[in-house]
Amino acid sequence: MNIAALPMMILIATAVVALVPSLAPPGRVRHLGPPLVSIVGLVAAAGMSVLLWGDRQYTFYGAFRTDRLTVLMTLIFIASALVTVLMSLREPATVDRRGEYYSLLVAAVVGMVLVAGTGDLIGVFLGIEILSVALYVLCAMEVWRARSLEAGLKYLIVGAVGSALLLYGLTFVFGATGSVSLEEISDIVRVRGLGGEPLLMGGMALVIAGLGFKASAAPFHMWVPDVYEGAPTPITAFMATAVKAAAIVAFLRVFSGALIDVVDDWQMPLAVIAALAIIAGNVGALVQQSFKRMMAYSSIAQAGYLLIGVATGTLLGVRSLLYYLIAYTAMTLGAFILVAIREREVEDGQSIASLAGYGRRSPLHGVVVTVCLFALAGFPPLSGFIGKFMLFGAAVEADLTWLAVVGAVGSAVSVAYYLRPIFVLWGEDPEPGNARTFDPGDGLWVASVLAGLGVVVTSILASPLLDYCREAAQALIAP
Amino acid sequence: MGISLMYYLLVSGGLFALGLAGVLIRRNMLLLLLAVELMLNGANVALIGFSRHWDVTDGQIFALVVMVVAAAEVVIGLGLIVAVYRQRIVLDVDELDQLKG
Amino acid sequence: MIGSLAWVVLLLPLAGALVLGFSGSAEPPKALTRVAGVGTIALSFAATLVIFFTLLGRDADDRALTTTAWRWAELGPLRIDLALLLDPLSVLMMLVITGVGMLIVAYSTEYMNHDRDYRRFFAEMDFFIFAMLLLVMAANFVFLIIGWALVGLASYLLIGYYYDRPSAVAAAKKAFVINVLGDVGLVLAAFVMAVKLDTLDYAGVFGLAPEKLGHGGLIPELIAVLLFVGAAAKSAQVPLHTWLPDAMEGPTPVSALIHAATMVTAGVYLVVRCNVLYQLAPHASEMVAIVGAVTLFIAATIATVQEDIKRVLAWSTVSQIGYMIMAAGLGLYTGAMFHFLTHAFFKALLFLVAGVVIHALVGEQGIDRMGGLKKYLPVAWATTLVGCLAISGVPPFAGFFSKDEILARAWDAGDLGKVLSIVGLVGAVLTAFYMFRMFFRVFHGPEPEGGYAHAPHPSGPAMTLPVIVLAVLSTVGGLIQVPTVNHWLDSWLDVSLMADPALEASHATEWRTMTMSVIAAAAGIGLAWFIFAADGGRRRVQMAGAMPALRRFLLDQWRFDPVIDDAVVAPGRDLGDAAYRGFEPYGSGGLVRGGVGVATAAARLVRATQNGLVRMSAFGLVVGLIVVAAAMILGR
Repeated sequence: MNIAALPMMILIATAVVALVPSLAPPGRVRHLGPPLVSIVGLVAAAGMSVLLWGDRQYTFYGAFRTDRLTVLMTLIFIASALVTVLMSLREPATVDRRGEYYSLLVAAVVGMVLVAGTGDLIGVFLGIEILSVALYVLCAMEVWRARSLEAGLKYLIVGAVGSALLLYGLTFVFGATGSVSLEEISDIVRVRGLGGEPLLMGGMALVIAGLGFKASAAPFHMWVPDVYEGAPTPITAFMATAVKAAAIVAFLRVFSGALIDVVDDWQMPLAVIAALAIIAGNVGALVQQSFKRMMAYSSIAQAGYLLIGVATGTLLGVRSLLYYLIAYTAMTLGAFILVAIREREVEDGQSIASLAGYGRRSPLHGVVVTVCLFALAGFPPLSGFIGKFMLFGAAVEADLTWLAVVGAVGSAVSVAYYLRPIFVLWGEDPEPGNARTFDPGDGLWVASVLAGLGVVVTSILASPLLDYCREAAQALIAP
Repeated sequence: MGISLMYYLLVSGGLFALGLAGVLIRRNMLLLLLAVELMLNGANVALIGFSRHWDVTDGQIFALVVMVVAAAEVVIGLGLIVAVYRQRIVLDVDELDQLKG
Repeated sequence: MIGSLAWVVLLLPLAGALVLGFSGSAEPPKALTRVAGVGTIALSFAATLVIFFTLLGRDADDRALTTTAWRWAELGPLRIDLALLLDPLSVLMMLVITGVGMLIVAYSTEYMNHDRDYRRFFAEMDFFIFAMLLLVMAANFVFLIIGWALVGLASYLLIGYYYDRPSAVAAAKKAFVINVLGDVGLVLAAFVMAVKLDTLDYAGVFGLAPEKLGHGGLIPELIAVLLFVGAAAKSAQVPLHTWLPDAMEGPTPVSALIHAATMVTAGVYLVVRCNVLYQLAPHASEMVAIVGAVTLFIAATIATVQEDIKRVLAWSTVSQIGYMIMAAGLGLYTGAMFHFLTHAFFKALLFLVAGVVIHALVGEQGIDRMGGLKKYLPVAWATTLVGCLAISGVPPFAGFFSKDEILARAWDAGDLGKVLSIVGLVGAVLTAFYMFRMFFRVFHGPEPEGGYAHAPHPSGPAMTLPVIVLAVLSTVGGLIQVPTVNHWLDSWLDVSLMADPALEASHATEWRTMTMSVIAAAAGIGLAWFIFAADGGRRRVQMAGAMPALRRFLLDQWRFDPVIDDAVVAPGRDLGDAAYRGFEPYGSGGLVRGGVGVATAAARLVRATQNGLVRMSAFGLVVGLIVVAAAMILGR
């Protein structure tokens, strides 16, 4: 084993060590130990990843590959996890089971990194399962709250079906090609010309369904609003960003990477589910009263935009997708942070109405969320605009103009519901001096600043970021 | 090469379809978990079949991994079901209806 | 060197806004707020002056430079830099924004003293000035649009400053919605340019446009019209003008800064900046000129019946910007900028004096409850007189020269120009009338019944000094360009106006127009004096009942509001509010509402599948699988 898998090893160690402080008697160590260990481990893994930025390296006999795409995705996962850790510091769900909470969170990241760097189909399944199993538990962590438990159980049952579909699809892909190694599959598909082969097509359909489920694209999305609403808010934020990113990178590894030569077979179904996700997400979000649920629908629509990048099957598409993914992570986290804050400050903190007048009272959070929502709605000059602009452009170049039109119309509709919380946020306060029930704490403050900075930096430094994204995309498609 | 690939796939497809039908029809949470297990094991049979067809061990390794994962999933599932049962005394999934809209 | 200074000018107000906006939750000492709020703008103004004199010292051809921070994005062939452009046009705008802005912010230190949220006010003011500077300093359309949108946002915040007053919140929303409409126009224009020209830099667009787009074709006309949608929304031109009078809900200094001196002139700046494009689009230019003329006339008539001192000034602003837009549409770019400059002086002056009066009467804004204030507020009286003379176009005050330049040059700019010049002249009569109507009723005439509850008190030095400075500028500001004597502004702006047709009025026209406009001003003032001042205001009472239909029509502001409300604002607002309130049942009619209805119905449908049952989700998986398989087979 060379150092290519070191970030993953660090994360595994972190997940184990984060359990240790739970052995301490109740007090500071037990309380702050797990998050501190997690933060240190995540930062160390991120630092290690950055050092690995470069040409592809293999480890575990080719089962794990570290290339620029792996590194970029690892950084996205870790960034999302870090913000989640900060958001969770005072989360009720973590009370008296802090070790498990943070350990599972880091374990989920391990699964994601495995997906991002996997060299074979086994890794795709295993990685997805590691992160899913960890999240089933995290969703249900607040066992005394019926909704949380319900969310966890629903997610588990439906998620297991999704995993089974994915597995069956991977099995068929293996059956059609005779290999589990992604690189060998790529060669076999090219050499034998497997376009139109029924077994492979069946496999791809199942994989699209399974991964589409994990990425919460329509029509596999019905669990999303329920689970997102029921889960503890930091976990929801984590699912909306990192889990979605993991599913997307699995799409990239399997389709844009290994199966690129049969792009004609899988382009249309991917484009269709992307379009359905954009429509279902944007339309569903229009009538929500709960900010958290609205963001859940919004994340369905955003999954649709991301899938446009996969559906193009081009370098430009993948590059735009990666950029948009980075941008999306920052802006979605920012929006969820506000939910986490309001939840603790007032009763009914998840509703849009509870945001009334908050912007004037807490300008920092107000500005961050405003920027994030503007970015999500795709207002120029923010990163959301650049990303969507490029994704639609890539779709047009890949002869998917209709998809670009669907996306553009969807974006226009989305302005309506993204602006609503902003108006409420900066509007008048119906009952000034809303009593606080919990102090949100410094962790959320830092998280908010980080998310806001993320949006601004991705917007301002679009050009260098796009360069990195191009290199990562090339690592995927180049041999 | 006693048994042809077709038979493997028939059994596998049968198991998978049975499991899927179970998920769609059953309301008892425990049976839902069982149905999902059926789906996963249907896939396992196919994996073994393909593995023999291509004469590689990859599929068998994959099947082993799947077994471990399936065990983990069931454990979590049972844990959650017990927790729900303790809290609400229900085993019917359709009773889980606090989250909707 | 002045390149980096440009960044200082731009970022100082932003720094002020950030420091004030995010310095903890407690209100800091007011002195500190003042220093941060005014100091940053003052430094910014000083830096602008340095830039101005440096450029002035250079050769005319050497006066434009671009300073690039970094490449912001590369979208295919489109390269967008974060860059600032310093040229005579942008420097002129910067001078006004920072200079007049500084005076107004200084004035606010006293005006807002007893108001709440002292710090937030200055933070938002500084933010506005930053946004406005970005708008005028941007070197490409992308950052112009960013500045454009930020200005809209800042004005939304400032109009809604008293956010617990429903009328203020409604006005802020209205302004925001109409401004977003304009933003859409700009974005579309930029999109067309990006597709056709592969560049959005001013230099690139203006360099390539004549060759690639041709003269008078569909594309340049389209671009020009779309740009003008943005300009009309921001500059309150008919029919997108209705937000401006309502915007008077903001504090008076805000009205002076945003709705008189700077923000509303952004549209004029845009048209002048894009002079190359407008020269390629003769029909669009004519449309611009006609819209300007229509606006100036309509707004002037409405101003004659307003009873709120700030609303008189608001309508007068709409009208004066109509002059500028009309001039820009006719190709009189220097004229437009000249009037912008003088207008910034005298309109800021008038707003600030209005603020003095309102301050003196403890918040009273109706001119009905004013009168005979001359003896209480002599300085305000004198400065208002200067402002009114300037706006009415009485020589030698600033407004005379700028208005005269527009009217004279318009007369010699073809048939359309002649017609519009006459409209402008009629507008001049009305302008003089409504300004002096306000002047006489506020400062002369009888005191309101029962006198004043508290004796009106003159304001302190922080408010008086800016007023006096602006009064001086309103008096002498016109001398930078006197017909047949000097053409300083013409030659200064020469570099920026790449396609200036350089229209000049003949001497005969000059003299004729001057005579005419002096007569027009005299007529308006005389009429106002006759009705409102000549016999102690009694005649006004007699005339109050005359022509009730016309009066009501004018008071209804030509009924624009209900129409606009139904056609534009309501759907826009609904789109935002719709789901918040739950959709009201259908039947309100209208195409847009119908569309919203369809969307809601679809939303309901989506929600219906969302019954929370696990089986439904699993079923969705199967349906999805079928969809994917079908797409896969059909898609091949």
